[in-house]
Amino acid sequence: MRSPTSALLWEIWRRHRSTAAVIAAVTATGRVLEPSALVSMLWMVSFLLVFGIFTYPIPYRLFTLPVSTLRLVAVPLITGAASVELLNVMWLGRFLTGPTSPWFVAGLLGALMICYQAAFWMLERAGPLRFVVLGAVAVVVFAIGLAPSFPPTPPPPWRSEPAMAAAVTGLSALAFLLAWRHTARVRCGGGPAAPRIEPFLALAGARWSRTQRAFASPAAAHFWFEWRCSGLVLPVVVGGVLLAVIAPQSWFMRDDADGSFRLLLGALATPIVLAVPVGMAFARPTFWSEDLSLPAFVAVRPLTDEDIVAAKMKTAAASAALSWLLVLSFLAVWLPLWANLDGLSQFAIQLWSFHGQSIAAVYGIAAVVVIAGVFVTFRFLVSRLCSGLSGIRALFVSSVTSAVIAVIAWLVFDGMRLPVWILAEPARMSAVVWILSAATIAKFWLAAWFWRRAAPQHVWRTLLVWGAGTTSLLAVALVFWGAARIYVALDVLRFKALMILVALLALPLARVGLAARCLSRNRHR
Amino acid sequence: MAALRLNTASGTPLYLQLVEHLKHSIATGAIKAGEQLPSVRKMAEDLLINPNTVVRAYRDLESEGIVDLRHGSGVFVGESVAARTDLMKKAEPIVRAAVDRLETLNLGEEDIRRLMENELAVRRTARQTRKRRA
Amino acid sequence: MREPVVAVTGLSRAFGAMKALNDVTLELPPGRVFGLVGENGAGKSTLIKHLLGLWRAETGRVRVFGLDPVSEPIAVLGRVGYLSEQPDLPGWMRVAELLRYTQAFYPQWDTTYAAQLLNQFSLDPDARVKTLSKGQRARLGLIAAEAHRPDLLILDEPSSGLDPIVRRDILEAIIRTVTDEGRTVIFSSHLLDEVERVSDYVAMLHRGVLKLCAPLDDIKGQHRRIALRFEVPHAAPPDVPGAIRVEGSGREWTVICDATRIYTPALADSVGATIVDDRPASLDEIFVAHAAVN
Repeated sequence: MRSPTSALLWEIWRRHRSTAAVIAAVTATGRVLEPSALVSMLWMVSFLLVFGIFTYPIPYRLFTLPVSTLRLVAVPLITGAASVELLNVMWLGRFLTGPTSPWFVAGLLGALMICYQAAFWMLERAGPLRFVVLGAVAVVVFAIGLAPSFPPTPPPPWRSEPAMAAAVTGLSALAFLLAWRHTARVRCGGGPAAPRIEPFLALAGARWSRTQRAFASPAAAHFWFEWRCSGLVLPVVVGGVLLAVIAPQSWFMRDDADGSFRLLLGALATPIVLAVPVGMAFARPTFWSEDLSLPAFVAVRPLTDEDIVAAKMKTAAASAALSWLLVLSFLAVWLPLWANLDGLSQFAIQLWSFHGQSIAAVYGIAAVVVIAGVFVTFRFLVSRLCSGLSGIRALFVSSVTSAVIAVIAWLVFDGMRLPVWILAEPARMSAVVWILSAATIAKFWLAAWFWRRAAPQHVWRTLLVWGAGTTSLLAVALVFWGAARIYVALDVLRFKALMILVALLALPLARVGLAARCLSRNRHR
Repeated sequence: MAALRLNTASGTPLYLQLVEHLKHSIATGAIKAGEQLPSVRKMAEDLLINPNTVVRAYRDLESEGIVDLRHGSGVFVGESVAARTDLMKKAEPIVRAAVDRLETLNLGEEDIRRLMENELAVRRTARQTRKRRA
Repeated sequence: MREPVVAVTGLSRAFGAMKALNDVTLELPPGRVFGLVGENGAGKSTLIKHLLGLWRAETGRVRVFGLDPVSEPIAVLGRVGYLSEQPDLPGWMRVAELLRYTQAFYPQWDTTYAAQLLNQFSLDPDARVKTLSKGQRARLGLIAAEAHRPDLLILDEPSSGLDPIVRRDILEAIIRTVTDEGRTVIFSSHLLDEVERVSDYVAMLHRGVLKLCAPLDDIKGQHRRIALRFEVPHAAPPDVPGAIRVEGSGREWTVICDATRIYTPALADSVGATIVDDRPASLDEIFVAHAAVN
């Protein structure tokens, strides 16, 4: 190491080598493949990962090194901005982000990274409120980015791109200076107590927690614990994606009817798609730790294994519901205000005409789709619980890897071809129907076997949830069948059977009963 | 009560160390006659020892007549202790002088004891006769 | 005869080739302090984890309050308070939140007692656990373990690495627990001085085998420490009858021995030595003597 700066850079690189490798791989894949949904997802993932690398609080352990605070602050912030610019350059030409100039976009991204890091460093003591502020920062930067394209165009001088670029540069310089000052003060142990924002936030958080009354039951207390550990992860990630990706895209596509419609579907798919990776972490006994053993803190509580699993499932359900609430709120703002509703209206009119000119049917279908979406999101969150809670590393890793491989294969080989291929030949379809029927019977039989020693109230509760979810999925399946059979020449009855079987197989039943036994194996080794 | 440091490494068992300490405190007047000693629980918590050790120490002191274990009230230093201690101190030289003089007559331990007991028995009988007459 | 609080019969546990516990059998009557001593890796934590149901008994039987802790976690763990060496309290929780959370599981939680302890230990209810020092975390863990007045308080090397004031708080908690009728404490520690002060019974584990398990007074009564001065210097430890361990050099040798043998000067003479000092052995010395013997 020849200088402190290179040492600091090397340290950042060393810690995030594997993530950098993943980003490189993702970007390379994205550039090689044709533009498609997969490539958009890869683009999103690469940027999320870059932001993830630079999401860390003030590096306290570096304070005792003989480097100036300026260097300690400048290296991560500028490296972050540089990394995001590099990534932007690598993706250049792949995504047309409307009429805005690439320099402006580059400037925005750099500013966003600097402000993001600065905010993350300065708001350490605010806890979860940090994310609210970070969201606000992101919104401000995007508003500045979108300002030039607000009507009426062309924008007046104060709203033009150069002006906004200057504003954004000024904002990032300010953020840098504030972060520098804050870190310097923290490094020498504080300073004169001036009224500042973080103690206020910390106090607000503390007062909130102190006014709480006692928990009603052990199950409620453990649910609170699980919720605080991992409940907000999916909603935050969904919110982040909605804010950072879908919202700007929705603005740029406001003239494109088809694109808007596809974006709407994308927004609806966001919680489901994000639930897959979050679910893999969710399956572990502790969300944030690689260790698959149940911590003694939880294992020594007077709780049965079923109670612990039930708390996790409730958290998953609440997480899924909250994420969908965010999606619906976003839609409630987007659709009336600036969405291009042509594509959506056409679709709605078609549905309306199908189902006997009934408006209620159209809204009913929308509601059922949302409910089914919540259940499918929940499904992806809890699907790995068995392998994760069992504590057997090999089992968990193979389960996760198989899911990842399946997703990648589906995307790379254009998985939509599989259903089309099946539905083309009646013989193939009937073979698949037989297989699925056998699978359904096996599912129920396994469920009965795994659930035979469970407590009755757990069984009833799970059956209720499963029943509700499957009913909504069946409704969606039948609607889909009703629409599809008009357009495609198919063996109608077999297709209906196929759809019903798929709906029945979608939600996990047996695995849920097994989860408690897996946890028991982990808790009492 | 003066601070007591119990030493587990010394050869003396902990309860004996406590007994010695309490006896010393009582003898020097740090704990007065009739004063209440700390409860078993408080003593154990203050000294950080097992309560049974304290119980054993208190029982030892009770068997020697130095304290009274009153059920429900606590442990009290015997009323007569201080007075007894002073008196005993006064009586010691008298006894010493008497035994010295008896020894100069070449009387052995057994004889001196027999003489003492005889004398005490005579006085006892006299007391009882006086009571019966009154 | 009151039912034993803990009854372990023939418990063995192996991790691969290493036997962590080897046919351990013990019974603890209620209302006593039970000290568990042994070197690192002797099996103390493994034994304690069996009592909590964190390990399933491979061979043998474990019963706490007459129940199996693995199959009846609520009935057993609801009456147990546990403090481990490094209480893995979640860093993000605040002190008040942790107590509120723990309170929900134990019906006999005493809120006033918990508040009194919080005050006594000077813990800020709004502080997050990750900002607390090691000693404060131990104190917080102690409140969480003690405030519901458990029938069985289990402390697994709680004092290691802590300053004397925190160790004092832990010992006070032990004494408070045992002075309440019928409540039991199991206390495993390296600090034999502390174990000697507060224990009624002591059990010593050495490489998974239970070497000693008896009331502390009996153990101390059975061992004596005798310092001998030999006429002739010995290069190797001399053979002294009834000795468990002989230590020293040249002419001066210290013997930890079975106290049932009375070391008269004549007996010492027969091995060519005079008795310089003869007193009861401390628990430390007894432990080292037994641990050194294979």
